[in-house]
Amino acid sequence: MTKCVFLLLLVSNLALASPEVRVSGFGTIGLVMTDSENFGYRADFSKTGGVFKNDFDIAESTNLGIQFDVIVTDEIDIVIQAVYRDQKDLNFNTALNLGFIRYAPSATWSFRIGRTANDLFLLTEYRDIGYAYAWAHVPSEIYGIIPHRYLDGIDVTYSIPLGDVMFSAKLLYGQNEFAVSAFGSPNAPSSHFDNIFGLALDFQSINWDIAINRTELKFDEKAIKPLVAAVQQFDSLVPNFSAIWPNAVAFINAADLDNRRGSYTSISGQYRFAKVTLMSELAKITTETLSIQGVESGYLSGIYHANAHNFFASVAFTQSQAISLENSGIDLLALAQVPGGLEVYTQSKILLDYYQNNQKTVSIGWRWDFAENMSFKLQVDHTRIGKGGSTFWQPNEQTNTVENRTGHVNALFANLSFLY
Amino acid sequence: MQQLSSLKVLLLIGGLTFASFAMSSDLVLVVHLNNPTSTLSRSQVIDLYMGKFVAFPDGSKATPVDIENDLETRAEFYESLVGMPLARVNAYWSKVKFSGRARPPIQKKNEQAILDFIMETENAIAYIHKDKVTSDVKVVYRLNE
Repeated sequence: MTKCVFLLLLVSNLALASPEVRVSGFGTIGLVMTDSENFGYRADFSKTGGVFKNDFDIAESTNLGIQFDVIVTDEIDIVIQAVYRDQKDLNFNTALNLGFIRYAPSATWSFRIGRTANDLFLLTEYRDIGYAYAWAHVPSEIYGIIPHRYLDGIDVTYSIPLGDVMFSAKLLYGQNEFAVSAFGSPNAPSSHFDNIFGLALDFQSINWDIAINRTELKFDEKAIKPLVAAVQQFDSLVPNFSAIWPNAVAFINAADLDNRRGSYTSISGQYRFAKVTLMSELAKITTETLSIQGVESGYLSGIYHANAHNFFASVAFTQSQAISLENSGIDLLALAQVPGGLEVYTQSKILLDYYQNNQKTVSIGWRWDFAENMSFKLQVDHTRIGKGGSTFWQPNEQTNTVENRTGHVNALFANLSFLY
Repeated sequence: MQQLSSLKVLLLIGGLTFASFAMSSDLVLVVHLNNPTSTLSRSQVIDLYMGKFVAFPDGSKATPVDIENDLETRAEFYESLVGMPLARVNAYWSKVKFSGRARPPIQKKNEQAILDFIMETENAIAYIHKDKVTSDVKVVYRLNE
């Protein structure tokens, strides 16, 4: 009923209006280099490539976006945005970043329907807008694991000044899909989130901002169903399988992703001094499935502003709950005698390791705003990858390993970001 | 103790908050004569021009206006209001605009075009130099306050 009223209002206004169209955009040309032969850098989990030692990569950090703002009336506007970011599968659906109609009858209330930016964590709404933040890239520790960009659904925002503090609350509902890839796979199949409910609270004053985001969702993902079926078949067909792989069915059922729920929470804040901005975010992912174990992550960044020059330093971390099959009493020698047994074991290990990230990064960098709409950024990251947490990084083609590894990587980023 | 010293150094580097660093300026904010708003606070002007709450104190929606062909005046306005150079203001707006949260102020070519727009638009608000103020508009905020 609400949707019908909304659409009726919209259509009647559209019929009477003569829209104004504004075109603008953004982009980044980015170079990435690393010093590692074993850990290939990638921007996020949607990327299938990796940047290794002696590579000069421009695919990971380069993007180009165009936005159309169609202002229909004072209350109604339409926003359409397309972004090229070297998507694995480039088509209308993956290029369309925003495509929504907004009805804002007052400054206090705003309703949007269509494809909106996914307000999952602090920076997810503008992670591709390089000009919007000081760093060369958003912190991989939080944003690498979540390649989310948009939400297909509706949201409503209520904004009200409370003295000198601006408060806004946004409720959102919808679904989305996004490409994921790991372990050097050349494929990045779509993963679906369904029944996404989110609440975003923002408190903004002249000098400080605090944001709290909470999203609950259901994984609509059947990609691991064949693995679940294989383990269940082993259990029913292989004699004495419970001795070879204790609690195999209980394990695989717990690892199943389909229809399981997850929650994404973050709290973030920033404080602006005259010459320094401090910002920090802490994020936590919890789920009902072993396939995506709990993840805790965060960063703290300080930016020193000297007119057109900005110097920054950051520390970031992420740690996943480690669950290993290696200590679960599986008799690998016996399992090897079962046709397909070791393959199922390996696939199960990959499943458990898929979202395993355990690393810390220290970054320093410089942003130079050499024009009012262009900036040059230089950033160096030093990342230490801990035990059982390297899935963000691609294995090299020679080893093509699916094992999690430990080590460290230095990465250099040089970006030219612009608005037009 | 070491951590406390580091914090003191950080605060010294940062200096005071940017609220206290706002530059003085001879720019003023003007609205239509029929606009019931008599005065605005600095935080209300920031809300209007940074897309946080684009409305007058009575709740009616506002249409903020930027000057298009006078970068010096625009830079002076934002430096005075929020203590940021234009590039940082643009970075802020790129975040707000391209995430689809809000639209930036509309632009008019020069101060005369701004005055013309204010006189014909009851919900508009714009900044102009105080020596350009006429009796056809109402001043609701002075940047040097």
